Amino acid sequence: MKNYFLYIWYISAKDIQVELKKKELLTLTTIFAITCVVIFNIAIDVSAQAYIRVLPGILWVTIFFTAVLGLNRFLSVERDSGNFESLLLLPISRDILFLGKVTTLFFFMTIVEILIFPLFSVVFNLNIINISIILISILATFGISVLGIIIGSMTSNTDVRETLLPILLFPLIFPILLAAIEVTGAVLRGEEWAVYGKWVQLLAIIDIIFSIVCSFLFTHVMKDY
Amino acid sequence: MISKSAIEISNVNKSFGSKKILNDLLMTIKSSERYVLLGSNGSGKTTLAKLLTTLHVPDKGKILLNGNDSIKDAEHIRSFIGYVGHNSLLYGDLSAYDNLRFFSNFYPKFDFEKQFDYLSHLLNLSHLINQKVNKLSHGERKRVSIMKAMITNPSILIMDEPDAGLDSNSLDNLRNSFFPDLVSRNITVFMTTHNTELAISIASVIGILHQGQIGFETRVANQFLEIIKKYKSMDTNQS
Repeated sequence: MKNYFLYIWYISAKDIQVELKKKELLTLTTIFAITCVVIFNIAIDVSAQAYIRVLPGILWVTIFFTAVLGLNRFLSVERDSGNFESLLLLPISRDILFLGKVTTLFFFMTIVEILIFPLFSVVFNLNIINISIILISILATFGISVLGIIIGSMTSNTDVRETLLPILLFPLIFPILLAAIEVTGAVLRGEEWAVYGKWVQLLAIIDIIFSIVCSFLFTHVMKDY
Repeated sequence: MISKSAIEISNVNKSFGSKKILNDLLMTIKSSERYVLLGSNGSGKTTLAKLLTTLHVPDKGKILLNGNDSIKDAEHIRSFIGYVGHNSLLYGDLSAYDNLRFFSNFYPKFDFEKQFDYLSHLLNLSHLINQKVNKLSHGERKRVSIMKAMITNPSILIMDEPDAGLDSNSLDNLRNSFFPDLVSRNITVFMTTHNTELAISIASVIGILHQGQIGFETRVANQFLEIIKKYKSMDTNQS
């Protein structure tokens, strides 16, 4: 069991090491996310009360598109160089590989969110740094990473992967985005945990189910590479 | 003495879409043999190599490596095979050393540093090992890729056209140092190539893949590697 988590860490640490040398993925996704925030701020000229209604949607749509952009880039680097093949040749089970990739994507998305959340707070003049929002962000980011890696792996051998990825990803990610938007909205409206707690629990259950199902699915998808 | 089979392929079929690549393929490679497979482009050499590495699974038939089934025991098989493919299978932004260190993390039961020193000398890579893979030439990358396949001390080495893109010096290095070393360590080799000269000089068995089957197979009365091995041991004794 110790080796299981150690191997997940090795895979993820190597991806992070490669990215830190290139700084391509983080630069691309951060610039995209900042651009989205600024454009939304300029385009929507409403009162602070209306902001509270639309801000959760803006926040999570920005995170979703940033994730799709980053995911395409993240998967294409290994696919184009043929390096994914060398990972598949390692004497480890496929779910280790899957969870390693999920951990990496989760890490990169979290970095972007750490930059975006304070920016949102400043630009929209609303405090969104709150323990419940941090909790829902962790759960939602993990769910997006799990689904992103599995759909990305399934579409990576097709010619229309860049188009197919968001088309397949969005309907599956919808419950995650919905829960995240509901919780963010409720917190900004000043509501109690009793009101939005069920969304957090639902998202935690979705994450557990998706990670188990997707680990098995990944093993099946990668059986004949 | 009857030598054990390292690789047994029984009635293997493999198709991609409607294109049949391998058709009831039968093949046996004994332990410590060096099997070189020739065949025209598109004959299925790479497909067969990938079936042996467990990257592909056969549609029908069975593949055993050291007695392990390529589907049921895939994970275990990957612990004792080395693979050199068309691509270098290395991370361009990392140094050759970092690449080797990363991959070796998943094989805990061997002495990395010892194997590393030995192979970097054998493949004449000592001066390149700290350079980024992106900065290396195609031939140098190929040699690092061969080193990566060997670093975990595999008992079966699968090489898909390892000579592609190598200059004559690198080819000589493979022929005169690397392959004799494989012989002395009793490593079973399965190699595909278009280079008949290289095939004849290193193989103990040569096969030709034609229409998804082994169309021709012959045992080579090859003493080239034995002569080099003997010469080297005499040279060492003298010094």
